[in-house]
Amino acid sequence: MQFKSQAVAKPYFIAAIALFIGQIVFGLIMGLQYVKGDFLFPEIPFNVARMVHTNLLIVWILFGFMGAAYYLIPEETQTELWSPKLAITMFWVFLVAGALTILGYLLVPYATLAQLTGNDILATMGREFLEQPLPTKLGIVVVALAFLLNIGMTLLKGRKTSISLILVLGLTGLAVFFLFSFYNPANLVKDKYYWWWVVHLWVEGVWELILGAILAFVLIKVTGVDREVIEKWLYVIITMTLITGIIGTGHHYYWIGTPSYWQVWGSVFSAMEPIPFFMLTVFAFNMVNKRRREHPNKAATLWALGTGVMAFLGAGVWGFLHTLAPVNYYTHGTQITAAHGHMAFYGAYAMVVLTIISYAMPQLRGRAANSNAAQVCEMWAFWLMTIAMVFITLFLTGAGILQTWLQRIATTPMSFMDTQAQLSIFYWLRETAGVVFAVGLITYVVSFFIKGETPAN
Amino acid sequence: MINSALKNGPPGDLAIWIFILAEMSVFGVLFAVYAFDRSNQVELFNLSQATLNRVSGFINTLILLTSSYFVVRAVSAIKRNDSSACAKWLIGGMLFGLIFMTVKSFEYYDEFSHGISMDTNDFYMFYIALTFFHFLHVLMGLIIFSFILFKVIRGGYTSTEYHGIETGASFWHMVDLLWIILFPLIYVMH
Amino acid sequence: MNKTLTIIWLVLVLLATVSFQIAHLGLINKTVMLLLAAITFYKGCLVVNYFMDLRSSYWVWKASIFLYLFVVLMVIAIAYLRALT
Repeated sequence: MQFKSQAVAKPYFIAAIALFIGQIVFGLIMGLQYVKGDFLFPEIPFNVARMVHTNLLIVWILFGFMGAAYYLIPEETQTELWSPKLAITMFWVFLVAGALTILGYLLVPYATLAQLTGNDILATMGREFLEQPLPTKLGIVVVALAFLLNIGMTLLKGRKTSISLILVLGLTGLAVFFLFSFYNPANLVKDKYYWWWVVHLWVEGVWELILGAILAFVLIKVTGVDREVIEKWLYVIITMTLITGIIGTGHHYYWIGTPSYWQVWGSVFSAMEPIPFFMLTVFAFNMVNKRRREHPNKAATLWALGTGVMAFLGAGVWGFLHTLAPVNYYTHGTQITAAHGHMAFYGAYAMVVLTIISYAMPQLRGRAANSNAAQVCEMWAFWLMTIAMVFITLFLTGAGILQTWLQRIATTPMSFMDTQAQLSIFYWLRETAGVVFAVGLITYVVSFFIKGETPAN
Repeated sequence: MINSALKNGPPGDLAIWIFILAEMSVFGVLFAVYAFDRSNQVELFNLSQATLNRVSGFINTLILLTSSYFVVRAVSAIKRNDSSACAKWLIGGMLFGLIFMTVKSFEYYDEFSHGISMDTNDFYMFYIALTFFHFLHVLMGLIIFSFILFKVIRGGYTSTEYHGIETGASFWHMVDLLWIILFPLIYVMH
Repeated sequence: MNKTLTIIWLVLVLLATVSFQIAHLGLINKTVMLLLAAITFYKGCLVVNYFMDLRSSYWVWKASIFLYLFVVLMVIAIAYLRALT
């Protein structure tokens, strides 16, 4: 690595992987609870396992984004990080706050947790993905602001590149939109309207800027293609993201009580949201094809290409399948949603974090790339997790189609629970795939402990 | 084929053309959705359309056509290495763009003060949304042009280097093209 | 070159005025409407060829936008005819 302060990224990456493991453990628990409803009841009821699973996902990805920024910003700006100490302090603050929050979910009844943490002062708890107690949410704001300050000051004193500017723009957007988690109107329509200003404008908005910037950085490093070419592609991709994704928010406004014109506007714009993901895939493959060097880190290149493909499939294709209002009318809130959600999140954000870790970790450990044995192990992990995720998605899609048919379209629709009973084969298959995914994750962790290096050429 | 396409590319930056094609696609789909939605509620659409200020829309058509003409003359001027003429034509083009926005704003003011909004009915929803969406693109064009004008005045463009001007001009002509479809579709077709 | 451009501009203004006058004088019927669609297509072609200056570019660019104009106006025409029934 070029700059000493890039080392602060390492704890962030390690924490990310640790929390990822936690996320999958709770994923497996829930997968079993889908078919054996009282598994671990009452110690870890489904709704608690779900909060832990989703909150861990978001937090590990945030750790990954911050690690990515701390690694690539000094290198892009060609200057040391403004305050490595602040970065490390915030690491511990975020980690401890996160751990306490998860423990709170697990050990304390939610209503009691709300009482204990001042939810009566400002009610922010109780919404999906935003279940965190008020102090945790405030903590996240503090950590985010400190992080932006640190990165921002570094950017100001150094060389400015498109990659660093877009990354910082995306991260700033992430922080700004998180503020909407504090706005919790009593009117249910407005509640849901603004909830999506956090969730949609994150994952189908500013997070895509972060994704593009990180991927562009890794591609410059492993392919050696001209920065100008890669940065131009990046601008086109993020422009398409914003054009389609901002008004595309309307695809969440079809049925929540907002005006019906959202069915037109949301459908038209969100239908085009796959375009930037398609461009991202073409971009990644194109750059690797036109490469000017044979970088020893083959694993990172694989992750980069895989991110493009899986993001396009999960976010783009699976998203498109249920984005048009006439389709969504029937599929809304079914296992189709779960199928899309899993592949999209894994393909876009989990994989881009794993991409940057794959590239940066060896560098942080003082080598151009890991040994052949370690890389092969890591690539096994890539395939195990990715193929497993494809199967998870296929099984949930099957479940979703059957569910939509039985519960909403058939001439004599079945009740929710009766329908669920019909889906259990899919859920068992999904859980099996989930176990394979977990094996992949273990393989991934193991790859870090295989010794040796491949020198730069 | 790709090489030929790139060697003899359209005027201006390739990136803006991707943007242009994307924007045209979005508008194209919206125009189609409007036309089909109209076919389900013909009476309502015809009645509401009759309340629009067609004269105002027509004046705006002439304004935008003329603005585009001025921009074309600006590009023509820089190809002759005449920065000063280029600047004058560009200012003219921008001025007419501003007039377009002013006329449209007066139209909106009149309609809004009569209580018309996106919620009034489907026709007005499309009318407001489409013309406002177009309005924003006119504004975007003017912003792009102000950066270009600044560079023209400083002598940053020559007869061999006018890539940026062509880029902005291409975008502006798209804005004009969209209005050429929009005006007859929304204001006239009944 | 400039003379050509000025003529094109005047033709566009003329076509726009003709279209407007037809509407203003209340002469709209099915045939007239389809004629207006054709005029719109032609105006679009003029902008594409002369203002956007795509005549000198590789044929794919010109063809794409012509195709676009044709498809969009076709769809609008079909919807219009559907509305008449």
